[in-house]
Amino acid sequence: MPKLEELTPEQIAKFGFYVQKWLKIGLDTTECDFDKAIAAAKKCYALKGLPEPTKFLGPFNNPFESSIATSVLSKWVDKSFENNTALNEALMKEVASIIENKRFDFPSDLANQIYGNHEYWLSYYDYFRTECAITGCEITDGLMDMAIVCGWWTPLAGACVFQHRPEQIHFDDRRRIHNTEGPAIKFRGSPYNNVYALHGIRVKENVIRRNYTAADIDKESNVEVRRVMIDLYGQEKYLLDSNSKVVHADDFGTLYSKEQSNDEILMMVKVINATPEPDGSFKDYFVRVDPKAYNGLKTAHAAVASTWRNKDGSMVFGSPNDYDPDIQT
Amino acid sequence: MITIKASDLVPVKYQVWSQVSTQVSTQVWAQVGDQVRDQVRIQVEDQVLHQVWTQVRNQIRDNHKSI
Repeated sequence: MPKLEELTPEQIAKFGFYVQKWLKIGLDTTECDFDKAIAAAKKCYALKGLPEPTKFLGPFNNPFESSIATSVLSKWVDKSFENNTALNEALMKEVASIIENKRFDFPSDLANQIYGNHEYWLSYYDYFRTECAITGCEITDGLMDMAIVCGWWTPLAGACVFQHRPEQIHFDDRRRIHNTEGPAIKFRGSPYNNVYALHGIRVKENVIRRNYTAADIDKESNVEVRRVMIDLYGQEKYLLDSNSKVVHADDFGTLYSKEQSNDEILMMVKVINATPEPDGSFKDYFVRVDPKAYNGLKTAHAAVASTWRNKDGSMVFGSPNDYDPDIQT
Repeated sequence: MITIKASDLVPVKYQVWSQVSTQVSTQVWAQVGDQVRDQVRIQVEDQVLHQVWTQVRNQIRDNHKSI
């Protein structure tokens, strides 16, 4: 049989439907549907010819709590319970107790967990199966059912451990995970799996809480994270708090620079607004400048001149000496 | 009564997930040309925020290491 080498316009027109369908699945923040998750798990095992599991546990709040649950199960080998409900209740209670008392001395089982509604790759096979009649995709039916009803889960030979989906997911306007005031991805229950991020860059919780110093910024080795930390801290404040160097000062302002490992020098010029504030005082402004302008900025005059740009980003003044304002506005 | 057996707790991720992924991929390779596969991956799969799920996984792994 010849391979499918070209899609019809009708098939191409269906791309958007599958994108929206799987975005909706992936961004679903409702709780796990336990009964439907059990049915989906049974289908997954059946499609692979595995014996049907007999113990269905959870749903737990997040991957961390699920990891604790499987660890507890391994300590309960040979223990008997009246039925699955009794086992599940005892397990939930024990996990809650471990979380409350922070008894976190258990091995992680993350490597055994799979991703439920985060199985974005299923969108590709859903499309081929439904729109192009490609055979063999039925093997993913159980995982597809699970994606619609459950968060991450752990398939074991005789037991399945289910989780809820995240409770909140926040994005910026470019669909990058982002929240300046809390977790960008927040799970139910204990906070240990919450994801903090700004414009898609993962950061630690203390950054979002603004609980860090200029010295902490200098210690951060990841350039992208350091930039995010500087922006949130305030470039001017960072420059003043981090032993930056005064490169030059003249009537135009004061030029500061701060070396940063593996990144461009942070250079800013402090200028005084020529227009007085309502109370008659004059306010300082910091403007970030390109350290490479005019073959390397050396004076505050040159730094201020370099901030004048044409619409295409090129310099208005070919030389800093061309910038000689008689009247300041 | 139900009893937890050691054999109940053997992970089957390989069969339920890894093998399924390999099997279905092989099927599509056999029936769909390179260009169409790339087209669908870019137009459908790549648009489904897979970077978000990767970041979630990485964050969770980092968290588990630090707890």
